[in-house]
Amino acid sequence: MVGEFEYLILSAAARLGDDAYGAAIRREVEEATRRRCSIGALYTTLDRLQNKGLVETWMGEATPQRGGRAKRMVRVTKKGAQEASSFYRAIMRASRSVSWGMQ
Amino acid sequence: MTRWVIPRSILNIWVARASRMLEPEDREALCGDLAESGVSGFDALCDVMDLVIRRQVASLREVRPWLLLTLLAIPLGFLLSVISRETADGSAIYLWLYTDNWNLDLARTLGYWRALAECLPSVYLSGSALVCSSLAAGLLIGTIVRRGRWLSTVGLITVLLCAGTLGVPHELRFILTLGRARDYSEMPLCLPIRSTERYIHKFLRCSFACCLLFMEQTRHPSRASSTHGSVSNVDRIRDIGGALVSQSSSWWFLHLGTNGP
Repeated sequence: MVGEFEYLILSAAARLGDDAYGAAIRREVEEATRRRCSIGALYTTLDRLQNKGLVETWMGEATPQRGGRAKRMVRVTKKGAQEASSFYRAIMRASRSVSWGMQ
Repeated sequence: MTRWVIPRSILNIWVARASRMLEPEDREALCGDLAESGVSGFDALCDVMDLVIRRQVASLREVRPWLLLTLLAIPLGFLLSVISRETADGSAIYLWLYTDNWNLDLARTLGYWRALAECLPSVYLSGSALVCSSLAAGLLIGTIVRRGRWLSTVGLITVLLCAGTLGVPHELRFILTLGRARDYSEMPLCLPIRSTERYIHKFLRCSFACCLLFMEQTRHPSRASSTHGSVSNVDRIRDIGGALVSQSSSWWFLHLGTNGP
């Protein structure tokens, strides 16, 4: 099963679709968690996900706003989607009839 | 209390320097992300160093860097240590003789300049061989070891320092220098082509040329674009190495021509 941070990256990449790349995924994760996302953690986790076959990455085109640098594009694989879905269901099951409340 | 503030321009130079420790694709993606997010200065430096450290730590978990350290960096460190020590021994004697005894009276004698002219090619050759050996070793490690390069670099420097300070066992010296020690004992020094020069010529003609050829062959086509600074630097160093080889070879032939059998 994937970890919490891996799940955050998988769901951000899935939400972004064809526009999923390093900086965009980082923004999505920061917005979702309202915490700073380390770029080092992001890229090492992406490597791990790639090694597990959960995502595919490739170098995309360079854009002027990136100072002519290429993007590292990300796509969630079928296996990645299944793993993320499995993690989500597990969290939902674990949270059943638990009311955390707003203490 | 005075607060030290490092100018942003200097921090950005550090960011650029630190990002060179990353693989070309990582560097490209990371620098692009930083530019797009508008992150610069200290925050950018922290981000780059974060990834660099994570990458280096991750590479230590693999077998390949340790294998290359054992099979490549440590033997090369010993070899370089032997070569540098012998170069220093040979050159130091000549240089000490000519510099320590130098005075105006001696400088007026023709014999002094003649003897100096005779020893200079040898000093130059051994120095060139040392430079070429170091270049070849560094480039070889840099070409073969992609991830975990720092482990090999640290290993090489540690071996160089330890072997340079503590010395290398005679048996190991014999193996590393391909029987050079035996050449010394069997060949009288009065012979015009001494074993040192024979070794240097052999190294410059064969080993160094083979190293350069190997590096040329193993260069990946996708890395050939000039966008990656490391490749252009390798090309530049290789050009310098090639120039040194050709120059050193011509010096050797010149030396052989004047003192040949």
